[in-house]
Amino acid sequence: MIARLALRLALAGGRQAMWRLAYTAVGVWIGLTLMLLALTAAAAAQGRGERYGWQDAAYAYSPDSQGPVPAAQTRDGALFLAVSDYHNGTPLTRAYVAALGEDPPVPPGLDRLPGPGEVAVSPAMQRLLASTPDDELDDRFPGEVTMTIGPAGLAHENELVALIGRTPDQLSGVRSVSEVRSFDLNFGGLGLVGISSFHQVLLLFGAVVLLGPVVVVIFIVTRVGWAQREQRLAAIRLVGATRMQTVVIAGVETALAAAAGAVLAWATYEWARRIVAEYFVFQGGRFWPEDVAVAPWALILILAATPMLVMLAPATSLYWTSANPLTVSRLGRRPVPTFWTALPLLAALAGTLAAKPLEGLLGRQLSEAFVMATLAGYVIGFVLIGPWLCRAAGLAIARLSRRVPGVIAAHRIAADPYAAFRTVSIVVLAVSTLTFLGSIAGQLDPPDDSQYLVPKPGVVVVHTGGVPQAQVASLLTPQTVAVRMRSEFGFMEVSCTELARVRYISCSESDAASVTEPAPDFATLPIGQLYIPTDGSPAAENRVRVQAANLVPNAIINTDRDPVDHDGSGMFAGFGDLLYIASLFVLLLATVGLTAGMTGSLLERRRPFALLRASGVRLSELRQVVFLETAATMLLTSAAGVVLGMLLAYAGTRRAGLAWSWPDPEVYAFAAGAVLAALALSTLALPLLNATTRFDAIRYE
Amino acid sequence: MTISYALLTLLEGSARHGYDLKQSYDRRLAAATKPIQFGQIYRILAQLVRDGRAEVLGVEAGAGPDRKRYAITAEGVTDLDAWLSEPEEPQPLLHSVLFTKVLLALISGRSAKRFLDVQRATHLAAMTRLTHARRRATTTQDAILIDFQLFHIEADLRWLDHTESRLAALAEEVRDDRPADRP
Amino acid sequence: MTDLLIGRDLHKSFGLIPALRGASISVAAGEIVAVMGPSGCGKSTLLHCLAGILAPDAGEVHFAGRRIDQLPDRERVQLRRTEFGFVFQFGQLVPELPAIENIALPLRLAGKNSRTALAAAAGWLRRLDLDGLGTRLPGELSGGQGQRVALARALIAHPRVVFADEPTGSLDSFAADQMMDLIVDTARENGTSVIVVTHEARVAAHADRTVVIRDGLNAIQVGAA
Repeated sequence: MIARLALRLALAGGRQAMWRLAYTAVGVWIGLTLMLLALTAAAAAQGRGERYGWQDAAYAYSPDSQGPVPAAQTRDGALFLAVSDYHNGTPLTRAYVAALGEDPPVPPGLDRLPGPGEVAVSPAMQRLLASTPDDELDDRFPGEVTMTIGPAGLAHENELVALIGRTPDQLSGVRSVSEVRSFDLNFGGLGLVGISSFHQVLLLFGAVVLLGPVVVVIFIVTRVGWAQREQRLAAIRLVGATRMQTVVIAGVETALAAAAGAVLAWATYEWARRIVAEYFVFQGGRFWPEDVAVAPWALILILAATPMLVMLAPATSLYWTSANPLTVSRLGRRPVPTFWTALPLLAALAGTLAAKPLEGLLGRQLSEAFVMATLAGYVIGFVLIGPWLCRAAGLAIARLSRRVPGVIAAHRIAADPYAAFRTVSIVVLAVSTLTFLGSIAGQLDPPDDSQYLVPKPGVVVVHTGGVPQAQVASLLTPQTVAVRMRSEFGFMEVSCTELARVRYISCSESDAASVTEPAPDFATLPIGQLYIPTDGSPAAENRVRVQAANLVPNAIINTDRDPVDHDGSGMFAGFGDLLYIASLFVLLLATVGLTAGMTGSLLERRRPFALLRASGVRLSELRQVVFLETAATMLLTSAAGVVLGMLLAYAGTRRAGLAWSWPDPEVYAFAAGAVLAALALSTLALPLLNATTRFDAIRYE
Repeated sequence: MTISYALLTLLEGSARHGYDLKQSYDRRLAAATKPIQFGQIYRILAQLVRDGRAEVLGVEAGAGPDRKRYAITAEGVTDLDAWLSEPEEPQPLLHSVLFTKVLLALISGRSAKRFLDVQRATHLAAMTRLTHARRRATTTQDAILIDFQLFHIEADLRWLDHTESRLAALAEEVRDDRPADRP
Repeated sequence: MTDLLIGRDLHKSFGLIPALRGASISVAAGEIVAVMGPSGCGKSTLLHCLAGILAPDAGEVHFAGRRIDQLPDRERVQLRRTEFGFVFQFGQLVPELPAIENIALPLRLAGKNSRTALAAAAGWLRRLDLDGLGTRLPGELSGGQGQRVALARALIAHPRVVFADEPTGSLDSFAADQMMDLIVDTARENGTSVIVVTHEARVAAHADRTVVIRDGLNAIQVGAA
């Protein structure tokens, strides 16, 4: 029965209340949709990684290494090698496997390993094989195609994969082959598969830093109009409503709007993810539809929990007022933010710097928990220090400005720095996120590949890793150029004039310095690279590839058709795009957030503003007040946000063991652009000021 | 009657001639009460002496009433004390007496606060009585008559409150006006 | 007759500003007491302490023999719902509900179903001369009408004490008289005690007894002659 009363009150507010409900619903809708989309992106990346991660099994670990081992290992092992290969410029994966017993590990997408003489291929590969002459492609995979790899083992429908079954003897002499006891690279812990640990950190930090603003948006839109409702709640408390009853009455209105927003968000998410699954091509193929989805339990949790959490907001604010059912203003001021509020942030910073040294002490699980804790410390610390910064901004205005708008603005900020910070918090989070992403981007440049300069057209380069001449004898012709290895560490020797036949290199003083001339014992050295000229036709190149692949299975074979792809830099390319998308997402969030904040604060402060106008403050002066408030607080806190973003990036890169560098100027430009765009947007909201604060508009509120 | 107490108050401050009394009275009290004639002063002084509240200190050479110096007696002080602490029965148009009492109390150096408190209580009690009477009134005429009294008594009460809040300033002013001691 | 509501030596400060410095008051069952004093003297604070809205810093409040100033919030809320009624000067009606639902609010909060509550409220509308105004919003009522709605709401749960803080503050003198007459009449009918805080003597004169507060302390007590 209290619910009916609460419902009655929620819907009885008239037009003003309807606007508030709509505002909250729209805010929750946008916020939740963005959150769901962000989670979907993470899920899609994770899903894809899980599908093709098995290809990295040989590199991820070895049974006798000291590092982490997979959770489930089979009784017997298998010899495994996966090689990045190309066909006419399209990447493909050529893998070899040999079971070492009755119970070997099996990659996802297959129910057993292909035996010697069998080949398992992806459907796309099967189609390609059918349409290509055997000596150009099929012969690269010795054996008969008897099995198809299912979607569970494929990154996308267009992926070209061939898994060649061999006997252990055939593989035991091949370089880079290693024994694996599991193709499931889920190591427990956070276990993001198929993605380097650096990217794990990236996703982790990125997810939190992207989701944070969404949460704040939702918080802002549900707090709107709180002051007006407080009078109603005070009246109810006076007459004897218990705390529980008051909380229910207070929360129902917001919860209803939030529920509506959640439903809309769900609908939008379902529509959007189908579009993405249908049209979005990433790194060569679309995502599998079932990957482009948030886990059902997470979906239900988020959609159901949001309205309930939204009811918590009034509960916490009521905690302060419930002691006094008179008016709220009687309660006195909330504590002024002091410099001690910076403590959590400093603690988080210290924790970050200590994380790497402490990692040895804590072990992996605890270490990751520690990192999460410092991350949370950053967010909390920043939220705490924000009002202090706003207050500082207010004091600065007071110091610098002599005119009326400045004085009013300074006093408004000083009176409630928490509200001031709420308005600009999204922009600040957005700016710090952009800075973070921008700083990280510097890490994504592909490694220096001067060693692998593109050969001349028609030349097939075979990187063998060091094989005796006898193994590749059939490839040696007078036209081939052999680069031989002096030692295990890869010091290469070759005659410069020879090399110049197959690579764009001049043997002048400067260039010749990078090429070591052959020593007298040149011919006895193992061959590191072979440059094989052909007539330049794809067919000829492919035939050479087939030959080389069968002679040296582990060799990486390139022509000038292949996009440079070394050590997964293709993965980097995709991530670079992702960063831009993420940046745009964040920019969108910033504009949404600032609009939400400003509209909310306008809605809340109609009466004081109208009274100011009625007592003679001009509309233009009022606009200046709003603008000053927002601009000053935003600039100061955004500056702090930039610093925070860089700190987070520093922490992330150190955690992943990489070197940190200052972000490019573009990053600053992007961040500044976000702030300016947000400011420009805020001026758009100012015309609203006129309409909403006309005195007659608020008389009967 | 108020005038006799006014003169007593002036005499309590210092013994004076009749002429002095008239001068002081005109300067300080004429606005509060009414202007006064010489003849009235001597008449009242004579009455005060007869009552024993004042006495003649000495006679100077010369003729006429002007030559006598008057002073207050102990009885006179007691009587003045009592009058200044006593509340007046509330009626309409009482303000002049109230004001005089407050002023005289201040001039004589007494605290006016206690008097104000007691007077206020009396007024309030009167209002309560009248309000209850009004509830029992059967005709509108009766009710309105009672209202008349109520409103005026309320006006007095409000003035009492108002005056109390300005008592300090009033006391300052009154003190400054005090004549220097006469030989 | 033992006193129903007793406040003894109450002290209360807001921050550094002392509002009450040892005021005391007692109200018998069925008695009407006025608390008078200039603005800022602490009379509203005294009322709030007596009603259990504020907890005093020192001193005791007893109601019906029970000490209430240190009760947990839930029990004080219970008192406000069943034993106490409130008529304040402003801001006590829920602006979004029509008058009749405002009156019925205490009963609905106590768990009565809406039909019973609204029927009782309709009865009060008639008693207090508010016929036909039940569906109006508080913003659509005149000052006097609004205060009568507040009075009805204060009385609907048959409280033992009604706390009125400047109930006539925003009314003209005639409406104020009417309002005070109403308060006194209905209180006498039901044997309800009333504590009225006011700075106006004409309002205080309706009471059986007046207590004057100055600077947080009792100044004088004035009884009916």
